[in-house]
Amino acid sequence: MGFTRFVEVGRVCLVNYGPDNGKLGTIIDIVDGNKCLVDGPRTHRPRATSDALQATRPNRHHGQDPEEREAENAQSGVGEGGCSRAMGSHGLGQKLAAKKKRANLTDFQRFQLMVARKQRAALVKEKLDAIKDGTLVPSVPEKKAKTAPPPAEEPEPEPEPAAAADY
Amino acid sequence: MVAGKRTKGEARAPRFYPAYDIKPKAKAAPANPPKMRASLTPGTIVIVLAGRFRGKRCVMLKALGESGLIVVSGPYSVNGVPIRRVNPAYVIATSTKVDVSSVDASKFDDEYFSNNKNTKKTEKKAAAADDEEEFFATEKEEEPKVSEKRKVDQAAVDDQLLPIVEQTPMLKEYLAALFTLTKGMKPHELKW
Repeated sequence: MGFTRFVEVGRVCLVNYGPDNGKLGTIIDIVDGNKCLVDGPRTHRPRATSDALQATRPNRHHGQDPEEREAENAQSGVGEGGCSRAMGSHGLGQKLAAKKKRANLTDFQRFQLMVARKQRAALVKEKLDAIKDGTLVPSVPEKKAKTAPPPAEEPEPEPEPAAAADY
Repeated sequence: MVAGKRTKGEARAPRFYPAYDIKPKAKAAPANPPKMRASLTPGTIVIVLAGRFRGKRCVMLKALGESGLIVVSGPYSVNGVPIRRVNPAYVIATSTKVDVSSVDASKFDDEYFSNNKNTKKTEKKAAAADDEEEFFATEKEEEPKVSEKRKVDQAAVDDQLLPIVEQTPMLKEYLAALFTLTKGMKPHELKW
């Protein structure tokens, strides 16, 4: 699947830097190749900035929320419930939350996380080897097998937020 | 006073005087007691950054008020760090703490650690002068020996410290592991 999250009018985006860093908004207008007008009334983004045409570069933006897609008015699209809620369950939102959580780990917690990841990797490898040997049928819904990539690939357990959730 | 006669106990007047006034030496200001970082309290797990034990995580036992150094212990049985003084400037204080109030570290002061280093040198010199053959023979550095007293003290502290460490799950393994920076780790941005 190719790149789908284009900068386009109506796209919900996340402001990456500047005074509005970390806030959600909606692209209202594309000024030129580098700038666009972003507004987000409900996400406490001051209107003045957008009125003053201080555009932010949405170089990382949020995928369109199907709930919001219908909403013609871009501003109403960034409703209190819709986007913020979607952000929590969305890939990017989870990624950001996990990143934040990771950044706040203490040294001891980082060590515990490292050990937990090793243990998980060992479990994945065990199952994977079993599948390779033919002793385990891959279709068996194993609890840990969920994180295992398809048997043909090398096991590459990604740092998943769920594992970090304990810390 | 009659010339040439002094009463008993009276100081003799100096025969020579300096040609110019000698200013009395200004008294050195009393050394301020060293300040300890707020993050360094007894029981703090610290990461040693320099010296033989760099990268080791160990338990801080106490701060020494005189020298401003801190006393740490591995514990020795966990990661090989003995009870020793460490300069707190070369230490990262983590937010992980254990309760070491029950560990008796009162005997570990600056005096305890000061080695009479002079004796070693003089002994060596004496030995070298003794025999020419010995002098030309390849010098054999004497292995520094750990005194029995230190061993006993170490064991006593470890006995008290280990159960405390073991109360927290995985803390022992944590202390045994070396600290390293890995890809993408920015120490100034990390939370300890």
